[in-house]
Amino acid sequence: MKQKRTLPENTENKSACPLNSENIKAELLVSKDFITKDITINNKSGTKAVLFYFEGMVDLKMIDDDILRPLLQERSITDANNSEDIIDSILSGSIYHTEITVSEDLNECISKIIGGNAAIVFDDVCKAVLFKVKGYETRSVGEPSSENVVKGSKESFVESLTVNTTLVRRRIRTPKLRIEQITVGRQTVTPVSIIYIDGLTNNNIVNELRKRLQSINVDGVIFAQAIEENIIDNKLTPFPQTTYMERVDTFCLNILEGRAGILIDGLPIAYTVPITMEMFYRATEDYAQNYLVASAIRILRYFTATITVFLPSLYISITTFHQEMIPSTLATSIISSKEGVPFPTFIEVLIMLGSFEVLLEAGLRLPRSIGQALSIVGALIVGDAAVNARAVSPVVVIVVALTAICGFVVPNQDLSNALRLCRFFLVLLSSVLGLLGMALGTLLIFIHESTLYSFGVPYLAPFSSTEGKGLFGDAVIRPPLFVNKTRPENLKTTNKKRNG
Amino acid sequence: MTLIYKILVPAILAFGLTGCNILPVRSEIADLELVKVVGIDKCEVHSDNNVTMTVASIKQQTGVSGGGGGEGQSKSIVLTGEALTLTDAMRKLQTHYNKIIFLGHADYFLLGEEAIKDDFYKYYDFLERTYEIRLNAKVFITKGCSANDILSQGSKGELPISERLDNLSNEGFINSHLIKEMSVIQLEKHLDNPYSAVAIPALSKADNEFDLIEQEKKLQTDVEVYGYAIVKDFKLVGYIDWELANGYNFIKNQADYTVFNVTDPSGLYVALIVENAKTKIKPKFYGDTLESVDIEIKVKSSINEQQSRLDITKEQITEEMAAKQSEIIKQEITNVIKTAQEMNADFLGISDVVKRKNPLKWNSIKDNWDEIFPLIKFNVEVDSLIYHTFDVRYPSGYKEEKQN
Repeated sequence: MKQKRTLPENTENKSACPLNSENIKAELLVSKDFITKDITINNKSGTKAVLFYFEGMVDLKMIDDDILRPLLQERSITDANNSEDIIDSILSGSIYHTEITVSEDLNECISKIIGGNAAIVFDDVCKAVLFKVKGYETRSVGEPSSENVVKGSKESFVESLTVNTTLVRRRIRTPKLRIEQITVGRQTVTPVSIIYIDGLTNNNIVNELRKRLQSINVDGVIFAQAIEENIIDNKLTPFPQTTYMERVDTFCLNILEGRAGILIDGLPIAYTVPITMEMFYRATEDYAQNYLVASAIRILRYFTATITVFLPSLYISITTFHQEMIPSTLATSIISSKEGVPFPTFIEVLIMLGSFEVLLEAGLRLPRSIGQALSIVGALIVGDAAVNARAVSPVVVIVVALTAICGFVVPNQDLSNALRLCRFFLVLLSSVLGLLGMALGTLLIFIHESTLYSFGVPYLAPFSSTEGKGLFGDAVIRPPLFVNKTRPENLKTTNKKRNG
Repeated sequence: MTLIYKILVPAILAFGLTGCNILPVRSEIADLELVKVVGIDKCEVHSDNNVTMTVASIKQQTGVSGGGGGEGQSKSIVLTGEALTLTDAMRKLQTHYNKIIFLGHADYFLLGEEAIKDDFYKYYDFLERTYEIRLNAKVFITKGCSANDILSQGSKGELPISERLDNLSNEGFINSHLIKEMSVIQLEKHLDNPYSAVAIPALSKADNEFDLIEQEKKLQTDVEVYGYAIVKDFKLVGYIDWELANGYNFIKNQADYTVFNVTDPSGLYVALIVENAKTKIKPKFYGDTLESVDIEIKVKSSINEQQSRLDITKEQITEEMAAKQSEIIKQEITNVIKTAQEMNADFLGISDVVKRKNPLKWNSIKDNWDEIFPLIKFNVEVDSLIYHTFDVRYPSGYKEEKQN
């Protein structure tokens, strides 16, 4: 009988005292960047200890000057009798360092060493003194790449969690700003911060977020989806249920509205929850512009989002099933343009929509310089040739181009992608049932959206909220500050008053 | 929700791919022949058939217009079919043409005089009932000829009949405001009232000579606006021409932009344009008897042109001209009322007003309306005011001494 092969358990160095240098070496020494150094402390008994750290993760100058030098030269240490006395002496200020912790737990010790601490392990007392001497390279705070505004901060989040929390705290200086930390990922052990304002944000939202983050059971958090997919309410939907931002000011604005924020180490973006659909139609520049202008542009975004979803299916419907709806002059123009085109309208539209998606995807993958050439070849040369060869009619090209351009007006890329999917769904339905299919598809989309919730908040709030409040709070228009005095009703914040 | 998607979407797509008849019929727009004008006549050629239907399509560009190249030639198709019913005639038309004849873009329906004399409803129901037809399509009666005559001959010239009707509709009707259009839905509303008659715009055929550049003079059948055809109880009872149509328009509160030519003190003409005309119709009862109907009209006009060099902006002169205008309007209204009473056809809508203002008394007289209407005494009062002169300066060549 075939026996299941299992790896032999590592039984070495298992003793009553788990925290000792041998156990740490057994866990980490296989890594080439793991450094161990036996040191003899210059005290009366010449106590032995072992220094551990990861090369590249720590500042070596700090280890030399702030740890090793005092251990050999500081009088209170040289006068110590044993390891306990040395540890007491270190904690009582013999070594000047801001963050010193003593650990007796092997796992904690190892995770802190991985996180950029230097550890001095005293085997005789089974204790380790940990010094936070992080010294790795990080990207400096730069300008946001996709959410640029003229009147506004130029700072965006970076990959370092510490830097990001600092950026937030520099803007929200209330002592009630809470930054909690949770580690996520079995292998990556990534620190994730929950940020909220105590006494403002709804506690239920914070508790739920904490619960969901703690329950994440993944190998690692390398990409955003590891967190995103595990904290959303409904996993079977194309619609985004979290909103990401790379701007610090936008993030802080959301925190002040009463949302809870998430910062992940290693990712230069932040999330806020709960979210509603209308948030995706807001753009950062809305709050840096005159409210009338911003409101007009926001209404335009709703309009263009409607066009990008419905225009191709509407075109198919009215040219294939409801020709009487088209003004006569336009109808004759469409007929003239379709002359000689061998495909039915919906095939034409599908070809063009498909081609556009291919171009878009290809443009994303290619280096920026080649991407431009691709768009010229794809859009101008092939498009023009296709029209001239009567493969597609010019009107369909206009329809698909307009659809694409309108799609780019939507500020949130995740929502834009979801709308692309809805567009194909409606195209298929309308090619079979005309306007009836379009209406049916729209109904299904709305039914689906109305079943979505984000941390207990309806996805379509405030449009679907039964309170009737905040309908025009900050959804369809951007109201002036003297009008917008309360926080969004649907967030059920503890502190409701925002301005005035 | 997921279950709904899983079942519904494949089901819908499966239906589409199986070619089931329960799905709406798909027809490509390029396969359609868009009809612009439909002519409906009583069939007189073959006694086996009842109706004749003639359709004229929208002029379409043919051929491919390449990049920077010129456009192809235009064409307008005219087809005629005869059958027992109009629906059957449509089907017969279809058998003679390779494209789908589509009435969804038909803007004009011409009904032949003989058909209206026969039975208006017999030919009109098709317009109301057929779902493809737009309810805002305009209805015309062809005076003195059949609709087929106008369509088949009128489409041969340089300007197809469909475009000529567009011109008449956009310029001849709206700018001059002589004849008001009647849509299918408006006509339906009028026909629902059994006590009144309806005035439907009437067209007539005219053979005009057109000067064509670089060509010889060419005789072409043209269409003219005649006035209104009066239909009562689904039968044609007569016509009113342009002059009578003016009076009709005033009574129906649709006389804006009507032009009147009056003389100034020098005897030369001044053109007045009606900018605003309000008509009030007030029935007066003595007991349950309709004693008389007062028609009060207030007209505001502006001076659009003067032929003399007098200063006609003086109050006395404008009042004199307004009085002349009032007299003309009163005469036109009196004439049209007289015609209506002679025809015993209440196309002026008096019965509607009486019913609206005195609903209880209307109930007592409505059954005898045909006897009452020709005997009603109408009192017409017109109050004109000229309130725009557009030019406050003296006319060019004005000399003060000549005023006295």
